[in-house]
Amino acid sequence: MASQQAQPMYFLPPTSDLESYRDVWIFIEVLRGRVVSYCLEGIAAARKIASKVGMRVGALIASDYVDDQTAKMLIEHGADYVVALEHPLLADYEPFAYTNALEEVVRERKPWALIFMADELGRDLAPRLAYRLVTGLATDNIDFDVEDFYHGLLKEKFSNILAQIRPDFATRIAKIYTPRHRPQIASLRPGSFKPLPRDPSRRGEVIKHKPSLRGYSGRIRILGYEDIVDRGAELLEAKLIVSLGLGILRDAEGNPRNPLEAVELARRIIDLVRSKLGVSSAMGASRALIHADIKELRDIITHDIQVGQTGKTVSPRVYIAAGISGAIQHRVGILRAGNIVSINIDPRAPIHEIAHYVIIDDLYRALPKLYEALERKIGERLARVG
Amino acid sequence: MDIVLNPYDRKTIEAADYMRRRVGGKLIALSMGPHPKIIPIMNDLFEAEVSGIDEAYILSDKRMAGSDTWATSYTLSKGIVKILSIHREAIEALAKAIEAGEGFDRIEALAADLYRKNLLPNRIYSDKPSVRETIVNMLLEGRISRENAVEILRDEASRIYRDFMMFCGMKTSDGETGNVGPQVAEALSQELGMEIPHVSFVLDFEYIGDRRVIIARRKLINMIQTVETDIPAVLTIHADYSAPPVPLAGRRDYLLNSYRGKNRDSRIFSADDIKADPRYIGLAGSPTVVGPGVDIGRPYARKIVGLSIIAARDIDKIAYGDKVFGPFRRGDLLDSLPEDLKRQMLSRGEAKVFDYDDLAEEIIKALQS
Repeated sequence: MASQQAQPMYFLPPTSDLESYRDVWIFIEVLRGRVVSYCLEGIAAARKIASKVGMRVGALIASDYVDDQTAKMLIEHGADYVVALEHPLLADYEPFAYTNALEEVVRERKPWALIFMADELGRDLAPRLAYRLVTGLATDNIDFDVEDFYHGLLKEKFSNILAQIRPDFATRIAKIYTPRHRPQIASLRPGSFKPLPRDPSRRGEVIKHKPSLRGYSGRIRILGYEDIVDRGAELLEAKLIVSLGLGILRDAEGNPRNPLEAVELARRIIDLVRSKLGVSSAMGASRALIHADIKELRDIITHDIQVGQTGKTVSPRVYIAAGISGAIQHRVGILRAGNIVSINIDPRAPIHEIAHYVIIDDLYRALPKLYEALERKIGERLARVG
Repeated sequence: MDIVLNPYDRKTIEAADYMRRRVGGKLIALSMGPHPKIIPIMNDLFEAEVSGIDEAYILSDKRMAGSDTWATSYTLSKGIVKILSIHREAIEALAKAIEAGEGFDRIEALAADLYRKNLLPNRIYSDKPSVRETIVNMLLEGRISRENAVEILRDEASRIYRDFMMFCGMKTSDGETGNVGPQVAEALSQELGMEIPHVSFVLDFEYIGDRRVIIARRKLINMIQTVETDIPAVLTIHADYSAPPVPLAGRRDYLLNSYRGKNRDSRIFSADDIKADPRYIGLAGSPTVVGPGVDIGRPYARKIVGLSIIAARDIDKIAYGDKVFGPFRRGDLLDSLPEDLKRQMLSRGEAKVFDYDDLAEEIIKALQS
């Protein structure tokens, strides 16, 4: 390429036979023999991408044995075909066996894009695989598109490549491209896509692949598992979330408050809605509050209930943000909320900009008022119905 | 943008310091970025005695700017190899001097010099009165032969590449990719020609000395997986990690494995110093490219409690001047109407100020739809 010769710089050599890569793959996670359910969201994302480039969706799954029902389920949820990696060493997740197996099948079948879920498994496996394959990895995406991209440094235009859309470190959303390397590897935040409805009429091929796992060193051994109760799991299901931020540490006059009071106020609303309306409700927290590491809040405000870029992406019908300023990292976690209620004494707090309902007041005044109004209105409603 | 210590790194330092206090050795901080900004951060870490950091190295070069995680991991792995090689060369230099038949004075002077530079552990040479059984002392006292000493030192030198651990933060607080731990493990595997395991999201870990393995509990989706890994390994520390108390047993080994002390002058390496391939570093060595940013705002009607004006009931079309507004349904936002019309509607009871009861009603409606 003449343009490249004119450049005085060195560049990472591109993937050879770049054009031979086809299809959009989604890696389906299996933990303790069960498909991780939100991987179906990844199939929906892969479908969106594939439909824009006229390619097919492959569901890549690894285990000791992949049964027919699982493969059928993946196809009915939107995959065109299933690539099943089967080996006894793939029964449990461990990065060496998995990286080796995926490397082998990717080199052989050359997918154009490969999507992982951005959880502890995807974030463990995808980086190692991407490094080994010498390709890019865009982490923690919330959406995808297919676009043309002009590479300023190379002065070269790349047509129809994957735009990997993720929260930006500054104030916005960034698009990451992997123009010269394949597959384009990306991870998708759980909660960003809705799974496609199951369509029992869909049919597709199941390609069984037995990886050789050549050079497998066995330098990591799995000793066992424990269940953990992720209190945050209910955040993903909740229709109402009341989230607390650093603002709970002080009242409007700047006097320190016992943050447990705010927790109690939030809990009263959550319990009211749950018990009187039968609606799933949960408490969330901003990263700032969790990082503040407040002694009184230990075991209450924990990492698993963090909402935002580092934490969970939630999609409740109603999201109440109390004492949260609304940094971009928090806002991207609540973009899919149906209604956002912001409570912040600072009228310029960014959270108000994206809220549907705004309360510019001290949360220690606002939450009790909101509770009373909810109690009154729920009472009226129940009286009408009953 | 200011460069700060990544908040996740505090947990990482705590974990690495735990390892150091368990087994000795020294705790080296490695960072990449513009050194004038990083040196003050490193100095703060040295000041904070609890951090346990003994030495710091900074990879700083204009050509490293704009690295994505692939290029960062490559560069860090070259930096790690460089640091390891400095330590190996120190021991090699001592072995060579002994092998070449240098006088004991010269050997001791060389050992003392390397020790002062924090490059020899107490078990090879020490100025601590409580440590007498060093290799150099035993040689000087004629308790081991030159051949023996050389053989021991050559073994020590080769162990440099086997006896280390690397700790990484869960992710940076800006990019938040979390890729670097696993990618450094892979890059280092390629540089050293051996498979170096990585374990990420580590909640706690313990080193089992007699088997030279780490047992770690790591978060994996909705479970905790316990794994055993050979060393060297790369551990990525979860934000929920907290170090257990250090057992008292093994204090003697700790001392023998440790070095002289802290070396507060951060060493800076350029891309050439670490022999980085110029094709693999910085923006040009990064497979990913960041495109232009996109705004994420979305238009909607915003209702402010105590300020916004809403329709108090369903209202048919309203003629106002030469314009017609409406119809409105109960609860519709009227903020954009002319001020005078809003006043009229308020006085006629057609409009009201949006209050907590209205908000509660809308919340209940949304929850029950």
